[in-house]
Amino acid sequence: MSLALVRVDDRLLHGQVALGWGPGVHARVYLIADDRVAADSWERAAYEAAAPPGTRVEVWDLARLAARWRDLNGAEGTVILLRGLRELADLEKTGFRPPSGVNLGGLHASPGTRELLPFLHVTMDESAILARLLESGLGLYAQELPGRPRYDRDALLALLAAMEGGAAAGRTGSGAGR
Amino acid sequence: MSLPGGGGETAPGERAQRPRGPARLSPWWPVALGLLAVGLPAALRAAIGPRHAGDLAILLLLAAWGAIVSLDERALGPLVLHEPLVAAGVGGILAGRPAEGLLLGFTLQLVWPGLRPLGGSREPAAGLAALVGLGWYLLLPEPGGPWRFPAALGAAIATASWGRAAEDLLRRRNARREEIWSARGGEAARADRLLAAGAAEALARGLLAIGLLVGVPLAALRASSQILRGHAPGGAFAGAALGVSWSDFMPPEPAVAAVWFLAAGGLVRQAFAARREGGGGLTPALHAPAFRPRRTARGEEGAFPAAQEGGRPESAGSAFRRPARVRAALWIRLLLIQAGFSQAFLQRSGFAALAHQLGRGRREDASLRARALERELAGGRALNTHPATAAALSGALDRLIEAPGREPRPLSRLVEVGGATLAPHADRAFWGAARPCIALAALAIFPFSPAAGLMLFLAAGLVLELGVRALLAGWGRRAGWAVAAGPAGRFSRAAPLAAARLQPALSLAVLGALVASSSPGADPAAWALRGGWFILGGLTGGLARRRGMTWGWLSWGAGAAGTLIARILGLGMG
Repeated sequence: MSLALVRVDDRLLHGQVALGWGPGVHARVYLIADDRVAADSWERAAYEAAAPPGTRVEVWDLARLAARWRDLNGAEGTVILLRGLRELADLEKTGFRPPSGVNLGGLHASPGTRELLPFLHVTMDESAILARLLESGLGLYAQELPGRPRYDRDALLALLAAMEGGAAAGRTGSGAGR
Repeated sequence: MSLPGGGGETAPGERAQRPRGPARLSPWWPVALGLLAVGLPAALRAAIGPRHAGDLAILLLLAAWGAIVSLDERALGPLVLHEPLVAAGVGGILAGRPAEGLLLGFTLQLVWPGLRPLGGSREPAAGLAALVGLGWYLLLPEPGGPWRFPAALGAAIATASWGRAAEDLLRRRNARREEIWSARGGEAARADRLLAAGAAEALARGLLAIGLLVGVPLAALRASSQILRGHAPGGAFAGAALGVSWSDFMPPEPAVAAVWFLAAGGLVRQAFAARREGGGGLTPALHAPAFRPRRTARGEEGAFPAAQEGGRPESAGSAFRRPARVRAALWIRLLLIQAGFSQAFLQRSGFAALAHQLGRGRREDASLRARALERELAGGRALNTHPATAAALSGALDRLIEAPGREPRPLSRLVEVGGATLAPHADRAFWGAARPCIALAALAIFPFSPAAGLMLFLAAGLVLELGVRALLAGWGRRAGWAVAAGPAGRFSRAAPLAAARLQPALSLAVLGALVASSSPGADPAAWALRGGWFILGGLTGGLARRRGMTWGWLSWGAGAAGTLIARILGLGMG
């Protein structure tokens, strides 16, 4: 037995997770690992109240997850939700290696991001983090919903290379035009 | 194009001072293209000859209705206008051929009884598909009669796939416009333009779908067949292949048999979805303790302390108790909150436009709070929720802007966190429970009274969608910050599960209606054939339970091929 799902999604728990993934992996517990939510009692209570019927939501900070994720590994039906790649990278440094891999499910645009996939946007710093995580053997894959295309390590590395190539070409092009 | 009540006049010289962004994208060119696409087949038709003069009127009516269906599918929530039964049923009525519209709508509704656009995921464009299929069904040349229905279904399912690709393109255009808007300072007052452009392109998509996927190919089909028949050696055969003189190779109405395949597969797929919704069973939900906000000492930052929520709330409806013009503008933004949707920013532009309207007609202090919220939203990250729960959030924001307490966090956090936490409640209630139940009830009534099935779907769907938005706005107004915790009552938690658990019974009712409405005098071979269709359809639907488009194509291909085999073997079709 292993963790049902580990997902990186800046929306944390929402419809795609609760209805799209949760029932298919027989989720019993949604574990939100996020320092910001853990530190704010209102946010924590809001997420706890969003638990689908028959499940519960727990909110941990990252340090607690880093210390205890191996205990969860035998707990069937636990879905771990992380907000972003930085959080995942911090966990990975502590030895976080979920056997089922890590699903990249939703990173949306913000200032300085570029599109890797329609549902994944990363800054240049985050693309470097992602490249490192892909090489680390963490088992990263990108997939928005069950039944939708899945992008494994090689596909993501190719997309990253294409994105960085495009960015470099853009820089060269804009420089040449000046 | 501007929305009523849109404010934000530009000060002289303001445009010149803004940061220069990429070239501006005009919202008008898709409209022009759409009109051209509708006009093109008419021109082709004129070149071919004056026959079928009424076809042009049908095409234009379908194009106009298609634009509205597309707007519904992309920008209005969606409401129920894009459901195949409604889209094709109303399209058939507009075209003066209600029976054909209802039959095609019924068939496609069986293929996709409950689509679930979770978190902005892209589902097959079922509404436009139904209208394009109807266009083919109505406008294919008369001699093509035996092939009409499978051709119409094939065109519909291809359109459903095309619609997803078009959705991708339009979302990218929305994202591009939003990037430009952000680069120019991200004024919430100008977010209206993003919604208007998105709505215009949704309308254009509908026009294009009918013009390009019905008008052009059918005009070309007629032109080609005429030319081949008249001039080319062996043209009779080629002309036949293009639709002029189809042989009686196919049965007159393959749908009669194929519907058993579609019904079984569609209902099996829906049963899997309903099982996922009600996986925990109804009993635990009924006995689970309802969520209660934790109360803390006055002044302490707790879960939902009353001290943070401002003064005594006004009555439920007061969120929108403003001058009629302002009220209308607010509701239009709420309805169009999806119009600027993109994969990159989700509904951020919609919320920015909504926040701007919430600040209009206020006292100065409330207006200042609304402007602060506008800036937070416009300069922040992607935002998303179910379109219906946006009404709840707007009610809560309205209250907090008007009568704030000691706010421990920016109001934009309410939109970000509340949007995420409310979405699963609404997704489950709407996509997982209410909408499929209404669809299945309409399908069960349809074999006895097609018009009643259509009216039930349309009326119940619209009342549900619009009524619930009004109720949620009032609830948000009462709840304030606590809105993010979602509905706390047992009924609101158990009702969606109960509805999900009702779906198997409704599916059986659909099957019962199909059996009861079939000719009782049909021979045993025909009934055995239907049983075979049913089993095959059920197995196929089960295998493709998570792949809407795959199921669509499988249902068409297997239905057409199986009907052909049955015909060749001389089995009765019932």
